Amino acid sequence: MNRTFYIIEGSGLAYSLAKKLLLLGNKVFYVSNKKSNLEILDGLKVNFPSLELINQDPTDINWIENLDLDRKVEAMIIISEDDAFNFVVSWLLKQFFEEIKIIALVNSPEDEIVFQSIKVETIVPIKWMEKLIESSLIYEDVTEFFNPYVDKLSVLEITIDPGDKADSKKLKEVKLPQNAIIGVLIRKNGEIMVPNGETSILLGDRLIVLALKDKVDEVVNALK
Amino acid sequence: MANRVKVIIIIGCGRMGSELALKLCKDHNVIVIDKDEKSFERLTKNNFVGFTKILDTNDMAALMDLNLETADMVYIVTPDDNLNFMLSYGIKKINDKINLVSRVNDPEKKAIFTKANLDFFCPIEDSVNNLVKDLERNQYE
Repeated sequence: MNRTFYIIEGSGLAYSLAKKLLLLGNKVFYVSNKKSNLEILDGLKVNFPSLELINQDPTDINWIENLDLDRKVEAMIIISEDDAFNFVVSWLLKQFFEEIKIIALVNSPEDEIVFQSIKVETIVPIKWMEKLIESSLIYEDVTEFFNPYVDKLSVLEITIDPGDKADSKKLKEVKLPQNAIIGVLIRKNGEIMVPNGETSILLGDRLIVLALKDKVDEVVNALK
Repeated sequence: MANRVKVIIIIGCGRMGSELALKLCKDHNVIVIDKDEKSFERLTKNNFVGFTKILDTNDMAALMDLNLETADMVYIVTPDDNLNFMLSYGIKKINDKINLVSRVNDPEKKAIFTKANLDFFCPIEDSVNNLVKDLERNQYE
């Protein structure tokens, strides 16, 4: 898997990301005009001499225009702590290399709208954290986090506790509402299966339920 | 027509934004936006008549809610060229009819604004041009 990645700006995050990509056998270029950041990344060169550090202002239009991207570049990843900076670099790259994947860190979720308007991929950590916290408060688990259809579809993880309605019942005996299905059943010992109507639900099982959002209450009511 | 009172929005209340606001507020309705309340002291000390609004200038979503299209002119004059670019670009994307002009601090960054078709002015370059012009004029006089 020898692909090429450009990481633009960022300090600690850039270090971890570069390390990860290098470990997987990729070629990594790191671009920054901050000496302190370059020094952080320089620590990786001992183990990964192929890492290239480029001391350059990434918002310099002449540099971007003359960037030689002949080799297969998998993605340009822009991860400074300054959204406006990330936006300018994303926009510039998009002007000259429309076909290359551009991933930008968006530090304040309020700025995502402007990144989306130029069709770059965004990483919005605060939004993730919000989702994680929200789903762990509202639902039993954080599976919502991985669900791209979260607006309409809920993925619930429900653990069967003593006294729950579904305890010791067969799947076919549980009255789930329309538009809801138990997709996966995980036994206490970690055994994982796609259950059928004859499968028994036991104490300590974890059920992964797919349901339309407005059915969530009914689902929980039928099982718990 | 020339004397019509205009609605002017100024984003960024540093030295330039405040000077501009003080000058324009004599004849026009001026709204000044900055993320830092303290920066409005530059205005209040100098008999500013107009509106001020505290708003995180890094908050694109909030800026979009500002009814900028009601303004005759929007000046974006923060000291951060990248921010000025993102704001101008975002605002123009929402409504292309909004009149706006951005400050570009670093003359080398002009090319980015040109490429994006955004109106800008570059105080440093303007000053340099004026200085050179003055010098040349003096030489021939």
